[in-house]
Amino acid sequence: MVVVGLEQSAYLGSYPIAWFASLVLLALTAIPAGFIIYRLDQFEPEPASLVAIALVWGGVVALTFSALANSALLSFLQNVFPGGVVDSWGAALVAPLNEELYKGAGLVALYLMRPREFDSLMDGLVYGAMIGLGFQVVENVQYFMMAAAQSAGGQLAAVAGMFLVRVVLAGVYSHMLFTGLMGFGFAYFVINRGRVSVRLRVATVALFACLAWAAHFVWNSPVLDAWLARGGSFYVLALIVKGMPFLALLGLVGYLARRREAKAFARLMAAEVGSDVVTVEEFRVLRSGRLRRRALRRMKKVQGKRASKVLKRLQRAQMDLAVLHAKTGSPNAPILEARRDEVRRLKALLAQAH
Amino acid sequence: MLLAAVMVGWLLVVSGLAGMSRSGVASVLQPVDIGRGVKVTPAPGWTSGAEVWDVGPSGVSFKKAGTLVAFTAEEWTGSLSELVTRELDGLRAELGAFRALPTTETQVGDGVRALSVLFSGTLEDRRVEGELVVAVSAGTGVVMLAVAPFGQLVGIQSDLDDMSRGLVMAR
Repeated sequence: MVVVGLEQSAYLGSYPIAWFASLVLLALTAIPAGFIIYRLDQFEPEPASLVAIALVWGGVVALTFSALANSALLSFLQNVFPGGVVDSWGAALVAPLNEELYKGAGLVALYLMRPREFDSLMDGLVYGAMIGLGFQVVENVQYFMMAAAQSAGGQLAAVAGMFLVRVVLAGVYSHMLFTGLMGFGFAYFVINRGRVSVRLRVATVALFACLAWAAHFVWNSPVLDAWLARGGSFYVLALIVKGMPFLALLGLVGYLARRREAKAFARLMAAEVGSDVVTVEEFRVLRSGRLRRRALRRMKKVQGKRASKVLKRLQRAQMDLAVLHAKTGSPNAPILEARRDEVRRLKALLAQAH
Repeated sequence: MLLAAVMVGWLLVVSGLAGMSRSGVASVLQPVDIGRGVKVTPAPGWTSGAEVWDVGPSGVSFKKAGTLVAFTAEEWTGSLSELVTRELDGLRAELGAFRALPTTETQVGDGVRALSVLFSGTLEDRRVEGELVVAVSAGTGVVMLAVAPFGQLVGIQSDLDDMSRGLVMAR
């Protein structure tokens, strides 16, 4: 934390305009990106405190360790291989190895802190992508400052140029993608303890770690550099060819994870649907994030902001029933009864608002 | 604990490898003869920069991670300060917004007196910085000129010092 703080202070002192511009531009993109990732887990949003730790791990711990390890490993390669090879391939060999290791360590750290928060594949994907997002944001500030330092023109133009390349054109193919893949494999490993053979769990976590590494390797490699050098549409095409296959893969596993979660949600809620706690119509709405949001908007428009807030709490309490069913394994567990009472209380409150 | 041990352990492994290779255990370096009895040994990680900076038959250039250094040797009957002035005039003409720190005295090779200047400027809209070192010995003037993207000279300074100290010059 101290190292990164000192580094940022130095940037602010040397390039104040560029530093503030970086912050504004990155906030404009990173906050919506973080929000989208956060909403991926539609039935059980991750605790804000753990998400914050994931972001800090990526931007501070992983980045600091990676910077030191990258420098040392690059120095080693430069001394044992011809410099031309290292100039071309050094970033592709060194960065994935170190950075994926230290970002992956963040997943392990989060799991050790709160193992119960890892109970679905989507959890791993969300935490992995959040670690990647933190890493990406702080690394981008470094790149922006380097551009400002090397620019003979204005600092703002240099930052804007780097923002276009690293965020607008290449932002989705970066660390969020790599560590999201790794998080998926990690979640498979931890949530299937006792249900799937150790061999399959280890093979899966290894496969997704390799995929994360491969995505990073391909991205950093000099493959298609000739297209990048031609600029314009060739530049964009090169970025798409290098990044899209892995992004599509992450999209596919994310889609499958969501479908699996939706099925699990329906199964866990089966005992509640049709009761006074969750009606059939309420269940239809609860299953879809889009319908839940639409219901909240309609409530706000018709009954006002307060009623909309109550409905939001009600939806959350109803969805928590699925989580509690999974955790307790008994439909009569006291904690479930307490949550049902909470649902009834919120329904009464909502009726009063009407 | 195990997690911290893995994180720190990996850092120690790669640092150890880097240290081992710096000490020459795994070095693949060969001295380059640039004529007039002058030999230059590139520091670890530096390779020929001929395709980006052609300095002619009486010199050699090396590159490493976006930075360049060139060594040239020529007949020189003038003084050391005349040689540094000529080189600085050349840089002033070539770089925009040229700035140089005061010249300092140093040594290259086996105790040959030399002059060194740190400078900065712009080249094709990019800010650059560099170091110029000149030495004269036995009628031969040797010039070492290093150019790096702004802010990156510090990263190669020890390599430059090693290369200038490792120069072989006729006495």
